[in-house]
Amino acid sequence: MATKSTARAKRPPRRALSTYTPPPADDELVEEYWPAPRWPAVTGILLSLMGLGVATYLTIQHFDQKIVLACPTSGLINCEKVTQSSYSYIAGIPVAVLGLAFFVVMLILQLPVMWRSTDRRIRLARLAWAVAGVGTALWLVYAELFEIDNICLWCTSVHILSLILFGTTVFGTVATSPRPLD
Amino acid sequence: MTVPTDSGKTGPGDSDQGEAKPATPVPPRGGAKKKPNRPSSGTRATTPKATTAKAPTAKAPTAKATGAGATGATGAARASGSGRPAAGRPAPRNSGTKSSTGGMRSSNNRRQAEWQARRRRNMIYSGIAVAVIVVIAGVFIAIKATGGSSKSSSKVTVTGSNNLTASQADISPLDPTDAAKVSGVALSALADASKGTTVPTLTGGGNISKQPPLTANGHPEILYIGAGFCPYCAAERWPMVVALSKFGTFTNLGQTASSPTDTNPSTPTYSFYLSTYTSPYITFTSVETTTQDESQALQSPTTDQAKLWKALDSEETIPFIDFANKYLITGATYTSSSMSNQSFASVADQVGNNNTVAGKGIDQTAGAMIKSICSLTGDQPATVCSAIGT
Repeated sequence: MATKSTARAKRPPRRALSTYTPPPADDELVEEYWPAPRWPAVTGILLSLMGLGVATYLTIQHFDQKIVLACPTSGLINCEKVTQSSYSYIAGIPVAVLGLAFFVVMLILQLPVMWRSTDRRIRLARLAWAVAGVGTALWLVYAELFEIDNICLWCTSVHILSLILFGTTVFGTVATSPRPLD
Repeated sequence: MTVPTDSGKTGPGDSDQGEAKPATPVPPRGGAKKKPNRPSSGTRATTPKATTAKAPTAKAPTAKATGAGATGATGAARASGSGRPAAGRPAPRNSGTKSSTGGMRSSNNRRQAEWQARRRRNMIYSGIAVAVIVVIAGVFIAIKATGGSSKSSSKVTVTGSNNLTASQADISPLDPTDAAKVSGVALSALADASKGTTVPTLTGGGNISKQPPLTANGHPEILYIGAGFCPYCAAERWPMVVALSKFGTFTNLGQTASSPTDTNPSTPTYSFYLSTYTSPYITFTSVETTTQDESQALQSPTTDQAKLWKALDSEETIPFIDFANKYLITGATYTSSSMSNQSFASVADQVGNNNTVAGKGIDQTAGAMIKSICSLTGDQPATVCSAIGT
């Protein structure tokens, strides 16, 4: 008990929160985040939700082989062949699961509060995430066309969503870029 | 604080008083010049509104305001435009003259213009980035549409890479009687011989556990890699033909023998080279890598097949028989030495006869293969899978 008391006695006194004013950062003196247009958040959320839906369906189908993908098998189109090919795994992780994770994280990054955030790290992370998504989509399109020799309509819809999300994120990032103060 | 209009004149809410007369309350920035969501043309001051502008939080500490305490933080901060240093250079702290205010105005104008220019430039870069990705995808599609190369097309190629004919590859036409004997062997004989035996399940850690199911053309794929000279491949082809014939049909199968100078010399066998197999349940892919005397290459595994082969069997043993990445045979499954130097017809006669060493070995392995394939096809066809037992 005596030890505890000593420890308490040594603890520095708390500063009252009401009296604490954080010092302004340099950036804050020269830039402001004006009320950003809402379209990046609205579009981003809608696209992420759509992608989340498709990725969830593909993930469930991946783990439950009894579920047959609603997908025609004609000509170049063969969802089953694509989703069961060796390219349906990246580093041992099913691509469907990676897609699900991508859209979950992207949905968070597209929330209005994230678009309003003045934290540059969030803006960069969102941009990098979108680049990673569209890069993976390009690789998978290549694999489908030239390695697997078949395309999967569900996967293609995810690829298109990733591309539009990339465009939305890039343009949204520019549109909501900080404006210098008057 | 002044807000420039397009013409460079002062806007409706302008006041220089904040600078010149610090004690005078400065009206809060309001109206259009305060509306942050400016028109793209940059004419912010053209539509004045009476609403109070959004005050950037903690943008201008009161201490920075030049004596405008009565106006509140926002008003003070805005009023003291000079108290807010421009990027990269110090701001005049006590500018009290009109000329210094004009300088500040000019500086602000310049920063706003730079920001607008940078924004426009970034919009263009963004458009280029999106366009590049669309173009890359378009190029992929165009190449594919114009018959671009496809690596996977070689997966179903049955012709040899050297385009050797059957006779050049030491393969003879199959005797129809022998063929019928083998493909038509009674399931009961196979069931008896294989009771309690199965093909080894593909289990383990590392690369093996990461392999996704092997499929082709919408069916479980059975991949065989062997060679003409190989005596154990020769032995395994017998039960393979027996088992696969229960699920589909071979055409153009040939007969040959293993190398006369290798172990179990001249083991009679089939050859999958130049043959095709059709089945509503499974896909069978064969790769016969060399001729009987090993002097010439016949077929090469595709990149995917080679990768899989290496992943599942680092020593790349033949025969390699992968049952949809669920079951795996590498090497011989039964003793085939008794088949050495026998005729093809002699071995064909023993299939279904569990009283000979060769016959029992073939039947046992064939039965185990059928059980494994049944587990891949969902026990289809039922007539075969129910008859083979467990």
